[in-house]
Amino acid sequence: MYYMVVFASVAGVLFMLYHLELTRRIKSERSNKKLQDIVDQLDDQAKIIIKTDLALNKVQEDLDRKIAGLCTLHELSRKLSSTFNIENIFGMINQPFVLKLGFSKLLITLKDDSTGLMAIKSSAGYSDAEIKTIEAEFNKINFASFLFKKEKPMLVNRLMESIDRRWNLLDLLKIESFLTAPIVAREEPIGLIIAGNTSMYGKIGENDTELISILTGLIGTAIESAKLYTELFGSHRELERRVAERTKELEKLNEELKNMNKMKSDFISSVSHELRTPLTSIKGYASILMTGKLGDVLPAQKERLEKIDKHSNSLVHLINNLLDIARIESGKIQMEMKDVSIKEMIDSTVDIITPQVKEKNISLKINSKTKFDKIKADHGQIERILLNLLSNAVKFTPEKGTVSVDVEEKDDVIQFSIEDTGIGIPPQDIPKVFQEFFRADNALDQKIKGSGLGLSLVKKIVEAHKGKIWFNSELGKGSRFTFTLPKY
Amino acid sequence: MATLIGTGISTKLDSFAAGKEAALSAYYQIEKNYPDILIIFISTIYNQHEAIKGVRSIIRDTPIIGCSSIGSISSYGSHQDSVAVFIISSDSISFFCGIGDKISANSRLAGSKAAIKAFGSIKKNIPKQAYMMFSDSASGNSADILRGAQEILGTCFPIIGGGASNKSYSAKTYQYADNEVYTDSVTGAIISGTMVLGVGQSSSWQPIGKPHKITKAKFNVIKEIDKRPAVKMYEEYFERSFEELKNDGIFKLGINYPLGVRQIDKNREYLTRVPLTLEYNGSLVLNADIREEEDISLMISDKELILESAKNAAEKALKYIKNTKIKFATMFSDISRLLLLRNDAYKEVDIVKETIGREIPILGCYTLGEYGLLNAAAESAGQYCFNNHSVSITLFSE
Repeated sequence: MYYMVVFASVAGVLFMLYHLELTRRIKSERSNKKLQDIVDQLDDQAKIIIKTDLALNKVQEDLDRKIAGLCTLHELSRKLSSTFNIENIFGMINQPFVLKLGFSKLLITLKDDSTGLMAIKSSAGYSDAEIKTIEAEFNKINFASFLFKKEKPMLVNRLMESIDRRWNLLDLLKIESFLTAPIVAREEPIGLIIAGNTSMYGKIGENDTELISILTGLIGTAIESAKLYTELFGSHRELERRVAERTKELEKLNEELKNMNKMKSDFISSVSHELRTPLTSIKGYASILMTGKLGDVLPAQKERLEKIDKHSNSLVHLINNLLDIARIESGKIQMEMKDVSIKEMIDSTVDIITPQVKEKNISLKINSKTKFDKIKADHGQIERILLNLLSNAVKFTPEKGTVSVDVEEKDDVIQFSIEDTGIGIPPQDIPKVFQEFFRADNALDQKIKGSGLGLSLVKKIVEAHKGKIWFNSELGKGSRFTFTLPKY
Repeated sequence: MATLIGTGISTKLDSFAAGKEAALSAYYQIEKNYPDILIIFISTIYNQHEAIKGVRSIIRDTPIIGCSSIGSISSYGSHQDSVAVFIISSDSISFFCGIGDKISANSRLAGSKAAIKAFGSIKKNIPKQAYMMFSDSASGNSADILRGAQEILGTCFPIIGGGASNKSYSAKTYQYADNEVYTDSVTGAIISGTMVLGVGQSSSWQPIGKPHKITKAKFNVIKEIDKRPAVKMYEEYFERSFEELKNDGIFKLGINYPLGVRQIDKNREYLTRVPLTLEYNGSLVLNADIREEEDISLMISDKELILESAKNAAEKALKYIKNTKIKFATMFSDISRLLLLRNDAYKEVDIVKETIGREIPILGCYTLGEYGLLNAAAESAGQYCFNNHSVSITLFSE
């Protein structure tokens, strides 16, 4: 009985222990399961975090790739703007550039204008032998004509079976995917670009089309600019050649003209000399006849002799003017530069012209506004200028008109102006006024006698003094002749 | 003269011209003194041979060491798509270079060959201070390369540097030794002289999601995780099919989201591994080896953590430098950090400059994996290891 009690007690304790252990195990398993569930939940959350992180990284990677590509293109654009040589342009599209742009392989082909065949101008990631094969195959399949119809870059990969199967381009180019676009210059497709990646590098996607568009645009513009520059440079060279040729011709003609002018001056000079000698004799003999020493001279004869004398004087004056022009032109006359008084010169000229002024009842005004009375000039020649211009003014001014002489200082020059209220010069004659033997085509001018050498001589004397001469004239209202002489 | 550092960075888009410009710029900075070594980092956008020729057009016979990189690190900041030339001219520091090839065939042997060559050319009685090496990260097992070098130099001998990188990440990388451009190789230089070294390394990637167990692995290949093909882990977390992972390249995902192997010190530093490729049976091939039965997690980071870890690494390195004047610093930062920091990459360099002193010249690049001293406080204290996603800073002081 005792043993039975002991056995029952032990069994009871064991059962209780078993029960307790079972309860603990169940609890522990539950707890472990709960813990495992938490771990699994955390693991699932980790997967979500990883997925988000991956997506963010991808976006960042795409953005970085694009920024890096755009920076590289910007750098290329900067370099392209400094060259107009097509070979240099292709030299810049080298392996470092292509890899930096984010591609591992690139080809640029251009259509040869003469043969119409495509020629590879620049490449990266291909050997010379591969380039030859690709070039030959491209011309065989005429891929360019197909592409030239496209306006935008085209993405080719294994999924685009129609294109790939048609030409087997991916195998030919040894790439997994590529972008291709035509290069357009002057609105005409002239070549194409192929940019692709092998499997080791990142996949090419639609995101890259923008880069290729910009690249083709840059290359197209650079080629266009280079061609334009070459043409422009050629035209410029041709123009320069022509200008040089023409300048040479003109120089030759100028030389001939100078020689002819000299010949003319020499001719005039010698003819004038030859004329003056017999004229002096004619004048002398006419004077002797007029004195009556050789017999009585009838009034009619005297009248004729006086005419001979008068016309001989005119002829001598004309010849003297011609001789002076010729001498000035040939540099045979040197201006005798001395300090001369402006006032004295004007007074002396006015004295000479006064009888004519009075005869025509012309009002002559002298306005001198100079503080400076002395200039360096050839006294006789300046008087000649003043006399010529004043006598012209008086000659062509109708009775009761006005002639004025203005003298004023302008910077480094003294400016003389002789103004009249005369008949004026017709506009068509204005350019010819200083030409030798020119006489204006109007009625009054024809009546007034003159050789047409006066103004030409005046101009030459002014220029010999390093001065300038010009005039303003209005038909029927009058003229204003102005000349300047240096102060010193 | 002591020690002069010349830094030349060029971003010219012509390989030869960029090499020449960078070399010229660096040469002017050492005031035309005799250069003892050229440390060169060239982006893979450049023709490597042409860029080296450009450098050689300025400086002829000086030994060259370096590798391809997606970007350079210098006192001027971070420069992607650049040619960086660093010249060291010193009357107290000497460099002895070596090269080991065919790391894909035998990584350990290649690592040991390079170290033997470098060690063999060293003059006796000159104290050896550090070994700087750059290896092809796209092939072989980087941890094995390190072990090969350590067989010659010892596990506690300071080994710094990292894996060469390519702009396309998984494409081949280049290593430079003298005038040659190698691939599938490791190049190294023993730095000797009287100096004090301060080394600091820190990673900032932290686990996300639940831990998993490596149930089957051999060397650098994980065959199974949680008794399922290893790739399943990436398939589930990223909701990508096997084909997508194969085509897109698991490498691109793995750079940002690596596998964290274990916590190796109290500062939440994890040893990370990047899956380079995916095998048809679903195995992940990593860039360094991994052990079976390890607990692993998927890892993630952000900009703040990266900047914080750069400061940590600089501070760790500074602890070794007591009352000595720092002459220059090397900084190797993982490409994953650049990919995450993006336009803020300069901040990482800036924070290091702020910590070690703005006037200290910095030379370095972005690497795919770094050699350094990550676990100073762990059970393997003092042992140099290969890690990913870290920044490794070494201070050289006299």
